[in-house]
Amino acid sequence: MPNLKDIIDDPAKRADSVERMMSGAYRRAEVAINHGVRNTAELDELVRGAPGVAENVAAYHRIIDQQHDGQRKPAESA
Amino acid sequence: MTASASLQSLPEFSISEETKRKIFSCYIECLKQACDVFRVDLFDLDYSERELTLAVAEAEIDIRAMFARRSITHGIAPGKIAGIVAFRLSRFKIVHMKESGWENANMHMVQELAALFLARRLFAYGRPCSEKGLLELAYQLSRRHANQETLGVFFDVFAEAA
Repeated sequence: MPNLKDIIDDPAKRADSVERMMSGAYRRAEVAINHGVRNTAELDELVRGAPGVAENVAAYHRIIDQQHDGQRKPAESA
Repeated sequence: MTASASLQSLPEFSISEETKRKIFSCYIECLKQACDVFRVDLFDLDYSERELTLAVAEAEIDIRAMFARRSITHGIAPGKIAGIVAFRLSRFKIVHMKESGWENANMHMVQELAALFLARRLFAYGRPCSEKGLLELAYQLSRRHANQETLGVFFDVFAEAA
């Protein structure tokens, strides 16, 4: 890693630095932390495996109704 | 290697007819369930087939772009695909409410919740996530800001840990 002060007034060192960056030595690494689908066939396979479970609508109603009750209470008690 | 050379070397990716058909058919079911959740009368809601088709086409482009970032050998995590699909299905003008449904306080979240239901059901189904979490995310999508990355992280990380 070049030091800026070292390189700023030295055209040869600066040119070397540029050449190092142009050489292709620094390459982006493959991202491989979290992977999965690689092509159309694998996406099809994923979708084919979907169990198709329906949503628990009653559970949503409980949350929404609770929220509405909470919003109503201060107005009602006022 | 230049960025354009890297893109050129990518395999052509497309969503198959089979999967598209499943998305369209499942979307109608998910929309019905989102209406049930918010007690929206099904009569009050129309959906644009054109916008739904275009949303899926846009998601396909997003997935291709994702392949430019992620490695071809390792692929894209299902949660990221779910995030892309949910985002596009929430942004295109798919759901149209009739005047008789305008007074429903939650009508602004119907399309967003339907998008999340579909994405989870078809692409991120192994991941439990709470009803409360999905409602929160639907609100975020509708009233605040969320993009493909945020949603991808939700399906990949938070939903997995739930």
